[in-house]
Amino acid sequence: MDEVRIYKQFDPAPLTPGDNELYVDLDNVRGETHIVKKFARRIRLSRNSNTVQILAGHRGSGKSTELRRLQENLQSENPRYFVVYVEADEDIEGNDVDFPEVLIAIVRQMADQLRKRAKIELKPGYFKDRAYRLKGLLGSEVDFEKVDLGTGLLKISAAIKNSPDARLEVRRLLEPDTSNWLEAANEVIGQAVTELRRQGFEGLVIIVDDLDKMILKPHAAGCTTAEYLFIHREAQLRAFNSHMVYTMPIALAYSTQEQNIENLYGGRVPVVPMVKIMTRPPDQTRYEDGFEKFRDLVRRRLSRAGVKAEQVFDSKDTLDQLIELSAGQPRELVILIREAIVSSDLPICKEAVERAEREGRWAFERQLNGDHWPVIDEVRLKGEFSRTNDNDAAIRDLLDSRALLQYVNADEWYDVNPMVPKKRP
Amino acid sequence: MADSPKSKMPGLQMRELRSVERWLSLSAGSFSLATAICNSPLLRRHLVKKLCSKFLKIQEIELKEECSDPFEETKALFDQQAEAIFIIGLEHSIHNVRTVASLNASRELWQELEKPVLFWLPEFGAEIVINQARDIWAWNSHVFQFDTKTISSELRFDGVAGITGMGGDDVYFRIAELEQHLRSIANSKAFQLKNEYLLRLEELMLLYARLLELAKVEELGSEALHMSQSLRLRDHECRILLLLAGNKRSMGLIEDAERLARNALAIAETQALNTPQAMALLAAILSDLGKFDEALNVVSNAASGKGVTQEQQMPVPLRVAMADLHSKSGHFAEALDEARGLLEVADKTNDVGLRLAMLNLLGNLNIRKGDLTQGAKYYESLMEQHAELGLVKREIAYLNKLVELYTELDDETKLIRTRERLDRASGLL
Repeated sequence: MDEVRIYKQFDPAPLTPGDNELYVDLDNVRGETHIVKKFARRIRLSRNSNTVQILAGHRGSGKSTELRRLQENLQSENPRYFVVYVEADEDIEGNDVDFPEVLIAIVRQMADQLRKRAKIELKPGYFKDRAYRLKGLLGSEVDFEKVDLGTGLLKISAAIKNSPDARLEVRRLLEPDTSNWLEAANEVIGQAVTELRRQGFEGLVIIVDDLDKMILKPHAAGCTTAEYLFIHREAQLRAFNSHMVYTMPIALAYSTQEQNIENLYGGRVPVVPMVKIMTRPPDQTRYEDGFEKFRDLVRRRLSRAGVKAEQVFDSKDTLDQLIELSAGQPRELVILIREAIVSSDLPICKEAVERAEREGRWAFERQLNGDHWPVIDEVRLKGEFSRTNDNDAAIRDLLDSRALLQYVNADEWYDVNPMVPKKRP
Repeated sequence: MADSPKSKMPGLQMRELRSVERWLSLSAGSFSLATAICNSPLLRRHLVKKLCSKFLKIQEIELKEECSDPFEETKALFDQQAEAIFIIGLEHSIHNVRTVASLNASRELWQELEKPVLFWLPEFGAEIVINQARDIWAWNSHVFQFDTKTISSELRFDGVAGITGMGGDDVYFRIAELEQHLRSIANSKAFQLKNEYLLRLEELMLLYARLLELAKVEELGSEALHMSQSLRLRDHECRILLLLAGNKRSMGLIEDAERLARNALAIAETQALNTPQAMALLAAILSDLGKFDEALNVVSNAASGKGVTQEQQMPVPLRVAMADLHSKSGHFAEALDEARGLLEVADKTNDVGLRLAMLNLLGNLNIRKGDLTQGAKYYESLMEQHAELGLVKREIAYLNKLVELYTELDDETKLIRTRERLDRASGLL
């Protein structure tokens, strides 16, 4: 057996369109959420009016994989859209995010992708007039006569990302002028859409990924940074003349702000939920359909390495134990198998599962405090929690740490990550 | 005497070490992110050096305290030829909000390096990453735990038996385990724990002595002596004085060693403690000083105190002292007999430490007799055994002795080979 080849199949990075053979459609064990179909349908049905859609989900639930599939769907099925996939953390400091940086990241990556993938060179337009204001900040003016829009904005974006002072300065300069910057952005979006239509695309869709990774910290406005961006800046996030898809931290989507967000964004924020592999607490019996989907996920990766599950796991039970530990998180399962491959020679045996469980428990022990346990106990008992102002922060933290996981099957329910210690310390 | 202390730690940690080696082999040439958690800086240094010597193309990048973007700093220092990257020192800047945020946001960026990346962190640093940089933590494919509070709390401490036969990895693992344990009980006021603290300090002294870290032995000994005296724990005081005397002897400070050994012996006699070890060490020190008659008296008194009349029936430490005394006083035949007899004892009882001590004595004896070639053979064997045990400083000490012997023997081929090996071993320190 080529162990290196097997190991490399279990790469936790999101699947790309080239990994189609590895993709397992998990919709029917995720509660028929059909994220890709729903998002694509809403865009296609809206035709001339732009849409803004939000997606939330735990780390490793498959958000980026689903968004990449949405991109593929929109680009390949008729009517076709050109999709700009913005990886926000390339330009944004996750610890300190506000709208001006999001705007610059979007326009920069859009210009870059249009130039590379559609051979469209966007003209800087109003950006040329606005950028001179940042001369003091950047040391010299960005000369849009000499560089393309993407390269010019890269200079601004790098300064913003690397220096808190620069961020504050940019915000100070942009804040009173936000509508003009938005106008500048929409002017280049307009150019892009015109060119794209000429190339046979119906329009432009901008997917802004990674905003869900924002660190939730207090903002001067008396809320968290994520609340500030998605609630206070909602009008600006909606103001781009293009279809927009943003990712949002799940801890914000399911906080005391839930109702507010529903009102602002036109309904409940869709979530990429966990795969149901166990039934809702307190029953907690195995859900065979979910297990089978995950076994399929493993088999497909092993097949690419030219081996069968029977060769890699000492028993079916060992694979199932790893699936159970994954709690229905696809990336977690991939990481658990990677970890097990490293911990001892193949085939993977029970000791490797125990080691993985020990590592997971160790990490959770370092994240939980007294405020978390009443929520954990309640979820273990009922599969749901009662939210109050007192426990809101604890719930957000439990969701953010993946100690609590959300499932949507018939109804929405929660479970405690099996790697969370069974008892309070 | 057992081969090694009955602790689970070396077993657990050895498995983790094998896992890191396996991870390096499996992920060569592709990106993979892992964290090794190790509180002991000494153990961390040892493991990093060991892995770097085994996998030649590991690049070690030390992040500076003022580092605010671990990825950018790594990228700036990154060597394209490296097959894996070890990042150390992140704990010095991870408390900085900006550092932790940029680390969290950098998960995709590390992929650009297309190499396995291993962060070495103490537990507190890992805790900050777990709680404040959850995105990057969620991408961590592997966590290797070498020395954490959890691991230590699961361990048993079964005493010092076998330290003299311990290999380098086990010594470092055990030191890490003990230091963690000592930190956890340092502030306890319970008498039993103070007793335990002293016992573990003694064990730690022996372990550092095994690594020839003599200054560290002195430092620990000074703390232990002060504590045992203020608590009036005379048995501890006696043993600590003996350890310090042995250490002074290793440092070549024989008069200091004699003074400390006599103090230990005085305590042992007044407290009716079991004295063969104290007597044996004092005898060896007196032999070093050329006070052979007095040394012989010390051994005889110790033996008669045990009701023993024949050398072969003496406790092992006294027999070792006798062999040493015979050797230094020029009674080579008796010394050889005794050393060979003790070698048999070592083999029968599987006592690696005694075996190494006797091989050393046999080497010395042959050199004193003028048989440098035979002496060199013993030293070569000792050098190899210490190299195998991973005790680099001891390996180097024997290599230096061999350089002297081959120079005297005018054996150029062996001299060149030994010097090359000496350079390689010195590079591991």
